[in-house]
Amino acid sequence: MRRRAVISLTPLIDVVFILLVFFMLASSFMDWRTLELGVARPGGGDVTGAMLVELRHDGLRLSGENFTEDRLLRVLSARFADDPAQRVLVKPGEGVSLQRAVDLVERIAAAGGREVSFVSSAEGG
Amino acid sequence: MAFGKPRRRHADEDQRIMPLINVVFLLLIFFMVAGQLSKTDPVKIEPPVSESEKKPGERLVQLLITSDGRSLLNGADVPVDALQGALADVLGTGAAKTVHVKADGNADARHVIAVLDRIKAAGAEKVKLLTSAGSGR
Repeated sequence: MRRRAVISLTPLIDVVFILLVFFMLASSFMDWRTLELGVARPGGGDVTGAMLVELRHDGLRLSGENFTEDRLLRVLSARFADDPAQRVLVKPGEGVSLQRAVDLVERIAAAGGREVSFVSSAEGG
Repeated sequence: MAFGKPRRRHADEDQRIMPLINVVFLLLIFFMVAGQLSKTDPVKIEPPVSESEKKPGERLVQLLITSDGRSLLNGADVPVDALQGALADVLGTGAAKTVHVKADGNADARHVIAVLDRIKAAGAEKVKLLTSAGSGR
């Protein structure tokens, strides 16, 4: 009993503290998820019959008409009720952040869209 | 008083420090179990938030896109024009056909899509965009 008490706990605490600080700094608590993305090419065969939603920094457009997001989602979900396989292409315009584009794709998917993909605005379209 | 009984003081100190060790051990175990040790990215990236439920699998080919449009393939800076060739080289080894894209949420969506287009053109079967689950916002 006496002999054991001679060994101090301080070195143990030192080591444990160092380990603690290491794990605190090195571990990440980020909860990663993935979103599988399709990218359609303008002029390609997979674009025919798809609805093209333009996402601009000042609003949404579907076939040349301005829409609010709620109205767009209502129109799309009515369309999906008729044809669940309806393809929707999202085309972000200038100055639109990826976050906004991802939000829109997710909402369209939540409204029932099974085939939602981005379309690059590189050529034509 | 304390000088009189050195042995006794030692034991007392150990007794007093015990709760501290208990707490520190608990914290240590918490961080060891709950956190994942992962390689940190060479650039800072704030991923977009999504409601997706899918967890990423093994990330063999990872492309980072920063908010100012730089792209890094498996940690090395690659100019956008050289991306298709570099990706085709990586995918050509046959190790993986899925490309994970970790893009910043503030990056220009058109730029990211143009890069995604190149990844497809380089022969990737699947392109997965890494996002973070909710709580970050």
